[in-house]
Amino acid sequence: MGSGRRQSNRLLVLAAALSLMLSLTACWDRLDIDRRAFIVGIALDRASKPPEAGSGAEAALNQEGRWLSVSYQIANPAAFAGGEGGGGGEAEPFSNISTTSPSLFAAGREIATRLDLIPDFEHVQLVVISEEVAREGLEPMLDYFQRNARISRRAQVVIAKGEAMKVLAVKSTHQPLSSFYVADIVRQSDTRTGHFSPSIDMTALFQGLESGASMVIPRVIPQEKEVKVAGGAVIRDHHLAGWLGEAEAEGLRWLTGQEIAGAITVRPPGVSGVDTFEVFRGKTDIRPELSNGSVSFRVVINVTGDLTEHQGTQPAATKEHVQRFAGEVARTIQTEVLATVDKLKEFEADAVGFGRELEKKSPSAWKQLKERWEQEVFPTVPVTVEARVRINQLGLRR
Amino acid sequence: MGAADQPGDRISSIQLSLLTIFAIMGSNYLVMPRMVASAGGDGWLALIVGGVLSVLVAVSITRNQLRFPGETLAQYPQKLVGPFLGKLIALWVAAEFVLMAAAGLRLQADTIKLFLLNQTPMDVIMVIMLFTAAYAVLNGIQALARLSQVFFPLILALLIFIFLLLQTSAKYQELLPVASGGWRPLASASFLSWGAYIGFGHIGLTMAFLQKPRQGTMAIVRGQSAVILIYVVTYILAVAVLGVKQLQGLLFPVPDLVRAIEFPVFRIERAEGFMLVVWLLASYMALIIGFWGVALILSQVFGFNKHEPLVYPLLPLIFILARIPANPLGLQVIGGLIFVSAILLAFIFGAILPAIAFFKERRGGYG
Repeated sequence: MGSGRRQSNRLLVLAAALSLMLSLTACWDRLDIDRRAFIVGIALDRASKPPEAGSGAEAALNQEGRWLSVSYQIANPAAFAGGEGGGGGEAEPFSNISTTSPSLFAAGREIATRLDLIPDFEHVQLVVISEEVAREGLEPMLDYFQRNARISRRAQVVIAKGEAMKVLAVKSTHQPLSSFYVADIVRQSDTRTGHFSPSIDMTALFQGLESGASMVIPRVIPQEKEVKVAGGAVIRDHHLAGWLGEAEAEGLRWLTGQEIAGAITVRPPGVSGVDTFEVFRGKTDIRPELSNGSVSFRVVINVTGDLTEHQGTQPAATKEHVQRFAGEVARTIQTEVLATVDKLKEFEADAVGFGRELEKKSPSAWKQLKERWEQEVFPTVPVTVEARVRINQLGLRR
Repeated sequence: MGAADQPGDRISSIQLSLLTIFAIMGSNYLVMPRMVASAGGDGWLALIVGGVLSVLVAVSITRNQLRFPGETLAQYPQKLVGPFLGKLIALWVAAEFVLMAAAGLRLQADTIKLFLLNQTPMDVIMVIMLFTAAYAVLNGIQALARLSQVFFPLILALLIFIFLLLQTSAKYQELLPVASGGWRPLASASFLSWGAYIGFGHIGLTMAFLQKPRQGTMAIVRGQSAVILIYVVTYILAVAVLGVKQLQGLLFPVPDLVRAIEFPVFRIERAEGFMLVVWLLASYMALIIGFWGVALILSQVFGFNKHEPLVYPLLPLIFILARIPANPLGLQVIGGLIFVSAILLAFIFGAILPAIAFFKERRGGYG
């Protein structure tokens, strides 16, 4: 009897607890998904005119502040919802909204005067910085994106040739959201072409900017219906120092050993057409050499890859031809790499990290050269390049 | 008479190892890299040095404690330095535990607010956490030990998962050159790394509940070694993924490390959530271990039979202490206080008390 009574009491308590759990749980931070504006891209431009008054703008105006024009791309989920009588097709896939402010955070709040939704920065895919902003310095980039826990760290960073806003405004035919379009080009083509410098996400950007070392950020050239990601922007001491072209970006990949990819077309002697080499894997070794006080670098690049095209009447699958082909590819890589080194020397920007290699090998020598490395030592340092090419596959034809 | 009167209150040596892991990790894991970041890429060396030192201290403490089987730090020091000084030391440890519980609670609430729920008032987060903690503490050492057994496989799996995902973005060259900065920054970072290892103070209590007290030393060393390993791996990854300079600029390096996960095969949004699960479980465990410790010490010092009556009166104390710092800077002041006090206590329990015990033993007995 007694135990049965206790059991029923227990059941009662359990039922009460369960019903309370269901009815009393709530969430302070609840925000319905249709109340959020999903920001997928951010573009930073130099503002041509100061903003309208409001929230400390006048106070900031008196100082020698820099005005940024910050643009946000807001994804419109309704445009992606399928069906419903073709209603999905009419909605614009995104809308861009711009504001002017010296502070990135304040800019995010300023758009609240024009936006009926709450901005959500957790899914930012792309951050575009205009040429002009980069030239004046990337300091504004450094803090806001790091201090704020609610902004995605996985966004890709690119520098726009010209205005950054134009990149967000691109209307590509197959990928309606331009932020995803550009970010995916940078992310995915990273392993298939060498024509732009290695992708830089937020973490890599902060790492580069904080360390004070020079770095290269992919360059994007906006057009009306598409963009071209090509070459790279050389950042020295937080400022844009100059551009690398497509071949030089490829040379940079060879030098850093990062995501070496792409095709190399050569014309071996004695062949009527061209031959193409596809890179499978590359490994770069930068060896600092110290001899009585002077520094030089030897770059050894080991490449394996396939012969993927051979235009010519003679068969490609002969020992002599493969050897000649490999030699020609090695020479092409060498020339490309040396051209890149010369360009970087011209910019006085050691974006490859020769200095870092020296530091690893001889911390004491680095300590002596550190202060005048980029301006004085690096532009005149001798660099020799040796490329070793191994051909793996010859394809299906003789 | 021992602290554990009922056989049901005894814990196994594995449970003691797990409690040690949680108590240490739960106090500072989230900000641990910050403590040794001054040594740059060599911080992991400092973590090893500091960790080994903390193991030596723990071994010395437990060796001494074995002379008094079944007695806690609130009881045996009285036999060595007299009832007054003995009680004073016990109260000092209790104060340290209260501060650690409060600082831990605050850090926990800060992280929840920063990373998960920014609109939720901090008081609400803290009160809920405290009541949940009180519920566990009321059930005594068995509840603590079993909880640690339930949580551990989960946090281990999550940590391994996170560490594996981070491999794609880790550039281990960042760690080179090793030990180029000289021994000075390394030594100071080793000293500071103690701040990440101080959570093992509970051994002065938990040892008394062990089924086989002789296994206690090994159990604690095992727990500490596991923590050293987790710390070192975390730090090496933090340097390899974030770079030294970025790491040195961060207030919450561990979640920021996890946010950097960029896995090529499938998209993982908000990966820091995994790490927050690890951290919240560990920090909850550290909170209840400290909370239970205070209640137990006070009950023994003031001659209560049980620790339970002291649990609810302690709630507001911990809450108010946790609420005092205005911002992370204020929390750092409390952290400094805990750090200094922990080093003094380590000296007292690891060196002075064993020395007194040694001489008293030679003279014959602890009369």
